[in-house]
Amino acid sequence: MKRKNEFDDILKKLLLLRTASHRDPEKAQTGRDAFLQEAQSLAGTVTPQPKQRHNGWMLLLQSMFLAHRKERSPMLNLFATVLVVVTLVLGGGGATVAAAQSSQPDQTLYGIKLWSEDVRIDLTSNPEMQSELALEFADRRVAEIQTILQAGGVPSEAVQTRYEAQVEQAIQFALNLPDDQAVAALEQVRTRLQTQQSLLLQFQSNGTPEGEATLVRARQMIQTRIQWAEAGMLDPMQMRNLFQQREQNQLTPGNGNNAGNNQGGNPWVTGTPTPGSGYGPGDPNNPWTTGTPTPGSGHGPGDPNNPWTTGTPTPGSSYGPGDPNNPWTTGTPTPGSGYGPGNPSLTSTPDGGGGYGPGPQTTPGGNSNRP
Amino acid sequence: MVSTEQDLLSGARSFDLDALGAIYDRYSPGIYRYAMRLLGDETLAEDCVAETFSRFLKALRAGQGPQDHLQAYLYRIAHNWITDSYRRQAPLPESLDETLRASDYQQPETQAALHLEQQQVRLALRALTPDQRQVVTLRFIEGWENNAVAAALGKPVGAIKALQHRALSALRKLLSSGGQEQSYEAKK
Repeated sequence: MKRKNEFDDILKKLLLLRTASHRDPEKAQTGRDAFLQEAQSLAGTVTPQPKQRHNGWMLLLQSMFLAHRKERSPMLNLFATVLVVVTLVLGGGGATVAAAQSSQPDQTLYGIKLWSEDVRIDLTSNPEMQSELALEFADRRVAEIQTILQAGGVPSEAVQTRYEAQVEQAIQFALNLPDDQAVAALEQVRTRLQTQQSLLLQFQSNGTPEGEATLVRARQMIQTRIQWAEAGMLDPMQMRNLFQQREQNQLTPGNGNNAGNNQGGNPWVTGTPTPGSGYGPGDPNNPWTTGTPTPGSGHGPGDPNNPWTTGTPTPGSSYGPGDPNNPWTTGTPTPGSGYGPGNPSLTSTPDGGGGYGPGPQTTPGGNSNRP
Repeated sequence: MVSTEQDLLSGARSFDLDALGAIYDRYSPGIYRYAMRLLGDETLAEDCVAETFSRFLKALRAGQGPQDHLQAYLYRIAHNWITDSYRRQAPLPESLDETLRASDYQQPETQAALHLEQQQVRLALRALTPDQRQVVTLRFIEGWENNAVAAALGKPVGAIKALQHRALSALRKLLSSGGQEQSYEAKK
């Protein structure tokens, strides 16, 4: 009420304009006719429905992202719509990829992180840069494995496999360079892998057998790949051939490589070994193949108190002197039949090469180095 | 049969001449009155009505136009046209001290005095900002409710009330100063 009193005089003056204003009926009719005539002329060319159909998606976006305006500017609407779409497609997607870079394997965006790594390598044409990128991504895997172990978890098989694959990629990309550059690149690879190796050696497992196995596997893998890099530095061509041979074997159906126990075509057990590469005939001083066996080590004459070889046998217990009529232990053995009294040396003190020792010469140095 | 605003709008979008004629008949007198009160000139007021409805047709043709509040929409077009009109004829405001000559059919002195006072108020209104002017006109001269004024300006009711207060304060100053103020558009 105070306001009304306050502005009473003003309101009275405003009411002066409220006086009835008489519109000339003839002019009013002329105006109406002109309006309808204009409407008629526009109606002939108007196609409101298709227009609305084409603009429907724009209006929808605007209603979602822009404030409602009763009078719309067509140009502003178009620019705003294009801006929103471009921002969503490029800016939004870029932001998602950027956000994914710090994600961990158990997080939703991890897939995008891996995808972006693949894309980055695919989009790089320089093998040196590709090798560098693969090493960078392998570093990420090491960090992820560390984080997971510290959190008390066990890295998934997928993370470990990817780590191995990216380390191999780094070596392969380096080998794609000309020899002199390949040697330099492989040296870089070796240095980075050695850094990763020292990190892996510092890691503490979470105490579970799975965690321990993961660490052992990663350490063995990195050790082997360092040897590959060194072998490549000594003879890049031969290493390329080995990789090529390996790829061909992997591509051949039924070669058994997936089972992990088929050594056919394995570059580490066939062909001429590179000195210092870690594969070859093996160490002649292997304590398991030479020298006097250590008591209690599991090999030797065995325990004289072994109940299975001494004492009175229990009837029907299947041990004892055996059946005197056993045709496999009595009678004259047929030469070459494979049965007879056996080799007496098997019951004596073993000596070097007496039934245990180096394995077949086709698997020198064991098979843990198989790529 | 009385058509609702939505029925009229629906017909207008498909350029149904009956619906458009009904819209013109329903709203053009108010638009004319509104323009007349602010402009004080019959010819200009007719121009304002014609242009308002022409712009409405063009908006419909572009697939735009109002979804509701048709009256508020038409008044806003008219208001914008009036503001432009002020801008076009802004430079030299009439002095309120000048003795205005009454038209032929307004010979009596009382009519002349009324005309003079009306011109004073119009000049004062012209010195307001466009939003203040529209609020004062619709609320106190046309007699609209605050909600309807808010719909016409596309602003919240609270903002309309604040505009009213500032406009009335400004008008009091203007009218007490003798109306020598230039119009808002002329000052820009």
